Amino acid sequence: MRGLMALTGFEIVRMVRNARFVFFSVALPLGFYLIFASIYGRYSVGGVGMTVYDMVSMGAFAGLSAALGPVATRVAAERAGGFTALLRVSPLRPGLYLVAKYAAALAAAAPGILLVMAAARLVHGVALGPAQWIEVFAWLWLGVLPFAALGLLLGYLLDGESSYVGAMAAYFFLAFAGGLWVPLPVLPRGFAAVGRLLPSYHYAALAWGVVGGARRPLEHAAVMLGYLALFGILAAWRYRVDGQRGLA
Amino acid sequence: MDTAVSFGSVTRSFGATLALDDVSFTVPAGQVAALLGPNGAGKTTAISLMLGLIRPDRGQVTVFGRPPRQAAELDGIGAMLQSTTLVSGVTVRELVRLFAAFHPRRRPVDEVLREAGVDEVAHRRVETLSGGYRRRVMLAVALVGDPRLLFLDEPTTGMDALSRQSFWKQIRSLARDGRTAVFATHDLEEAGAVAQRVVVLHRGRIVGDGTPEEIRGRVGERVLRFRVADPPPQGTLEGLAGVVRVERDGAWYRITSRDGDATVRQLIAQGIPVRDLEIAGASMEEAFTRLTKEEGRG
Repeated sequence: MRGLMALTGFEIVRMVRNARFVFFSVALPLGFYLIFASIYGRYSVGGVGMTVYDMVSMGAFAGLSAALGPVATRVAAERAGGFTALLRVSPLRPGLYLVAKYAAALAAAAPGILLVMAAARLVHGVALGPAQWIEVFAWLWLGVLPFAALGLLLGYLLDGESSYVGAMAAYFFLAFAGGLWVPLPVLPRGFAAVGRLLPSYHYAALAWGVVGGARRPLEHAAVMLGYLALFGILAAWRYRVDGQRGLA
Repeated sequence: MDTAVSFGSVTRSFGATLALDDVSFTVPAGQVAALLGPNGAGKTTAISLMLGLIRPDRGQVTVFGRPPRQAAELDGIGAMLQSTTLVSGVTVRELVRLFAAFHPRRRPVDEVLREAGVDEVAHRRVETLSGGYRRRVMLAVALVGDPRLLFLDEPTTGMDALSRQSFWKQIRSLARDGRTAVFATHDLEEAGAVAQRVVVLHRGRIVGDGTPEEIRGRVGERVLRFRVADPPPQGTLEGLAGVVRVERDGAWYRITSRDGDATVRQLIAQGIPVRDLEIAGASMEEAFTRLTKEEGRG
């Protein structure tokens, strides 16, 4: 337990010191929210006002940003730099490396999500009941786990610079096609159909449901769990394979 | 005496490549032992096995009589691996403190930083350090668990001569405290200067195992090159002390000798008018290949 706490803390410290991380997972979602909500604030999507709708979209965008790219590039760099080998040599229980990555992704996602929610409340006067605020946050927060798993997987499949490019491509695709930037109902029908298959859509849809959108929490949660299981199992498998190479 | 590391008929391959082929040796506790061999000899595979990172296909590897992963937890195993980049975004102290948290028998971080010679850069980010300093940070990471056994994989790569010296001085003093150290190197001089025992690996097989003196006697060949205007009578050069082989190309001679100093002394004493004399170590590849052949005959 002590080892896991230490490794998670270590991860968080490194993320917070990384300017790229702070930009993508805190500054960018917050900035987008303030811009979008100001421009489109008068409109609504499926009965949900855009100031609320975009709060969820950009909160999800913040969570996605915190989990996917940073995890992927870090894992790739740590494999290349020999850090993962050093952890395997230490008495730290195998697998806790992965657990620490999930925990760090959760910790890293919280500030961006909270800031967007605070901006919605303070700048655009979004009013929700206490239970709704908590529920929105809980979904956006826990929903980062499938993306952390995808980040882990990409970190094992790709190396060095390609992990950065690959993670960025996956990140922009998931954000756009999942309807985080432009609501799916506004996108062409074929596009929206693809979007509805993506974890990023179901991630945001869980929280849209809380603030007045179509409420299908079981369906969305099931899809998210499915993606978490899929990416998580593949990542754990790659982690094992990676360890079987020894130091070579 | 306790046995620190034991390899019993260990075979391990990676895909089609046979990395270790029926390797057996033991390292008694308290010994500084070198695994000597050229690149691709199987040294890193041997270290991966001792660390329990991989399992042998056949045979058995034990550390202090236990499976390696168990020993890592109960006895403390420290390792300096070849990689030098490590992680970015943390200071030296933060990195060492992290690894301290993993070890049940952790030592005070500041004491270890001092011992590894990185106390003055403890507040610096790991990525800003020179290669030599990074190696020492790795040493601190290896020492923080108070290990009874240290594995060092080509530990002095990237160090200058001075840091090498102080590094090995430190390893020797750790060994005096009763710790065991096993290091991999492709440098015979380094192996000879530091280890009490040298295990020579070549293409996955043990081709030599003995004290540095014994090994040096077998692989420490010298090559003498020189010119002679009037060729000496047939058999003169072959008869000199230590000579293994004489090759001639016009006026140029190339003599391989087991004892370079003695050969040169006799060459001069016999008044052979050599010119442009050069003496060099035989290449390691050559020496290892010869050892492999000897082993095959023996």
